[in-house]
Order: sequence, then C-alpha cells, then structure tokens
Amino acid sequence: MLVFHEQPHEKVRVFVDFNGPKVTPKAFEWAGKRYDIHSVNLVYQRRRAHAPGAGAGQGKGYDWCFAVSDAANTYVLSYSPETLEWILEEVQGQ
Amino acid sequence: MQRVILHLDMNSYFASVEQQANPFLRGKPLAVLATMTSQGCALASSKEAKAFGVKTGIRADEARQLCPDITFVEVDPPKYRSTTKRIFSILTQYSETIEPYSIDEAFLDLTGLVPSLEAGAQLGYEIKQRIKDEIGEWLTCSMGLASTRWLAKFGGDTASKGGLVILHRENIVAYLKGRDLQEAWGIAGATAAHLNRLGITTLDELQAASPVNLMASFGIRGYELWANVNAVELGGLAQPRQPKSIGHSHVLRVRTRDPRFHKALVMRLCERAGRRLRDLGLEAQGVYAHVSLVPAGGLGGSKKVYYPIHTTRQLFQQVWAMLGNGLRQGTPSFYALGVFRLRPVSGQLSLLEKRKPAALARAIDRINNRYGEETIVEGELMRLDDYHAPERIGFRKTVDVDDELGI
Repeated sequence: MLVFHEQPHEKVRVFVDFNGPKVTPKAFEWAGKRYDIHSVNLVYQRRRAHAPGAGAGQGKGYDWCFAVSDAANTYVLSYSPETLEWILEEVQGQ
Repeated sequence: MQRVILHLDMNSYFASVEQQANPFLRGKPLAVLATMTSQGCALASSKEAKAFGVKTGIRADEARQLCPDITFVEVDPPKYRSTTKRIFSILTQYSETIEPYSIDEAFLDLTGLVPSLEAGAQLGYEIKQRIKDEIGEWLTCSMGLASTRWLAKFGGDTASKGGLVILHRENIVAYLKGRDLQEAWGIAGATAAHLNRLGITTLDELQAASPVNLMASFGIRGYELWANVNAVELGGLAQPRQPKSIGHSHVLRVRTRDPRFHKALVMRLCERAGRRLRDLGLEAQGVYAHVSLVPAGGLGGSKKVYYPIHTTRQLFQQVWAMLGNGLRQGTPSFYALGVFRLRPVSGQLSLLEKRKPAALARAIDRINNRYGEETIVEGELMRLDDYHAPERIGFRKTVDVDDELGI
C-alpha cells in the first residue's frame, strides 16, 4: 500500500553511466542527500508540459522518464535532451 | 506457402506497466483508475486483483469491497503509450506487416519469413523474451499463432497468461470442442442467442455447421462466422486508414453550474479534438455533442455542417450552439463531443469566411508543439486548471508503428 506520493518537480544532480547510446542513472542528489539507485525499472517518454516562463526551445518534443528505485522508495527522474536538465518528478514510499 | 499470423496481447497491461515502474507494487492487488475517486472506473487490474474478482470496468469503491488491501493508481497515458511504442519497435524488427490493434494488442504477419507455425512460435518466444529483457521483466504477453488473423487472435485470447497457442488444421477441432460461443472474438450475446436457436451452442458445433444454413439465417455474416472457425482468411491484416470520427469525452470531477467553467471545459475538449483533426490534415463536415445533466438527463445530438470544421474555434461554436442553452436545465456531469464525415483538407475557399482562422490555428499548433500544450489557448480556456479533463487514454488505435520512436 502506498504510504506517500509526492511530486517535487525539482532539479536534481544525477550521476549517470553512459554506455554507448544507453543512459543509466546510478544515483542522484536531492535536498543535500545522495540516493543510490538500485534498479531502473522502466524508461518511457513524456511530452513536456508547458512551463511558465520557459525559454525558446523548452517544451519542444519529449522528455525521457526513468522510473527508478532504491531499497525503500521509487522515484521518477525526467531528463530533457534539450536543456540537459534532470528533474525529480515523483517520489513514492511504501 | 504456409500463412503465419501471430497475435500478441499484453497481459493486464496498464497494471503490469505500473508494477514494472514500481517494484514495490509487484505481486500485490492493484487497479489502475480513470480518476482517483470512489466512483473512478478501473481501466485495468493486476492478476493479483483479478483473483479477488476485481475486473476492468468496476468502480473503486466496489473494488475496495472485494479486496480491502488493493492499491489504486491513476491512469498515466504517456507511460503506456511510450511502452507500447517500445514493444511495437521490437515487433517491427520481425516483420514489416504489422497491425497495431489496440494499445496492448498487435498482429504480425510472418508469412514468407518462417516456414511453419512452429517456427513462428520460436520467434514468438524470442519476442516475449526481448520484451522482458529490453523493456521490463514484469511485462508478459499471450500469443496466438494460426494461418488466419481471426484464429490467431482467438488463440491469443484463450491462451493462458504468458502462454502461446498454435492453432492448425490438426488441432483446431480439439481446441474448439466444447468451448462456449462467446469465447470467440466477435460473438456476443445476441449472436450467441441466435446461434443457440439454430441448435449451435459450442464453437465446434459452429465449425461443423453448414455455411449455407448459416447464411440463410445471418446473411453474409453467417459465412463470416463459419469461415472464422474453419481457418478461412477473410481480410488479412487491416491496413492503417483514416479515422471515421474524432472525439473526446469527460466525466466531470466537480459539480458546478458556472457557465464560464463549462465554456472552458468544452473548449479544452474541442481543442483536443481540433488538434488531432489538424494533425491528421483533415476537416470535418459533421459534429456531435452530448452532455449529461443532473437531474434533467441527457442533451445533445449530431448534425452535418455546410462549412467544414478545421479549427478549434469552429468546433467550439458548433458544440456550444448545440449545448450552451440547455446547460440551464441541470448540473452537467459528463460531456462527449467530436467530429465525423472527415476528409482531407480541401483548401476550398469560402465566400463568407476568411482563410486567416485556419492559418492562425496551424500557427498556434506549431507554437504549442514547440513550447508545450496550451501555451497559447482560446480565451475561454484561460485559467482552467489542468486537473479538469486531463489527458485520457483510449483502447483502440492509439499507437501507430509509424510514430517516431526515438528510442
């Protein structure tokens, strides 16, 4: 049963393994704490929603979403191929 | 040459994708809801929830009664569409003749690529494994292989979860024996009752029936019924075609009689339909609209229009003319609207209307494509929260293999 479900939409630093064309997030820093990713469960694309005040180039195309988990929680990290930014979209605890 | 058609059907698809994304939900009863309310309809349930009797279409409060520990997740269309695209991208590596039948089903024509149904089954097992390896280990599918499209789907529909069924001339009689008519794709209550009156109660009896007698009773449909269970191919894989209609509907999350709110909501639904219409390069010569009012009941209808509809504003004006005045009769709880009689944009000039609105609509579409949905909206839509009429998912023809995969 879900205990909590947050949607922070906050920029985070992500440590990534680039293996050829494959991108695998390994860990991320959020609110000063490092979270090690145990598994990347699902990778999918999502059309970028309009962000107020977004500059030219933002909103075009799709972001990549990585549904990942550590030992306790699951997270959705989105990556914008245009701005090269990582956003922590969702946190779910059990 | 042996015809080889493979049908793939993802098991408990939306629920499995959610369990794939969140491993803490795996092995637990789960339902994917259209809306996170007690009245929300379950669009899919996990196999663990199905064991409690939680089926597609059930309301959340009913599901909770059947299974108190069930977890609810709100539907997330982009997640399923994107996953489907990845699955279909694997399929395109095996055959160029693919029919995406729904968001979680597809047909693959392997004729000429493999010598037999058994060889096709080997490819089927390979596809199953690749879906697990490349997309997610929790995603399973059932498959059917046969010499016709109908039998392949029948095999896929009746296979065990994650299983594979091969139907050929030698085993089809035994496979159909004693099976209820309504297990078959395309035979529902009325047709089954009609067949029962002819003394046909099982699929093997339908197979053995005389096609002449069936045609005398059903017309050409009688021959189709007979041909389907006798491995006679009638149409093959369907080719992509222009839709007959484009529409959107929404069950309201709030009950209000504020006309500004309803104008905004109708405009949002019109914008969705208008965007799809323009994306396909079509215009419409018909429009339909319906609203359910509490306690007055339903209101709406359909009509043909003289000047083709292409822009969101044109569609909204037609819909509002049909519904606007009637909204005073009650509190709206449901909207459905759309366009039909579709045709490619003709470019026919109108004596009364300027070309400017169509050009403006396309310019706004380009801006919204670039900067995000609803960056620029019609005035009525200003300040309507995303909470109302969010993106929804249909079960039919929602993904094309020609869509840009980008993976």
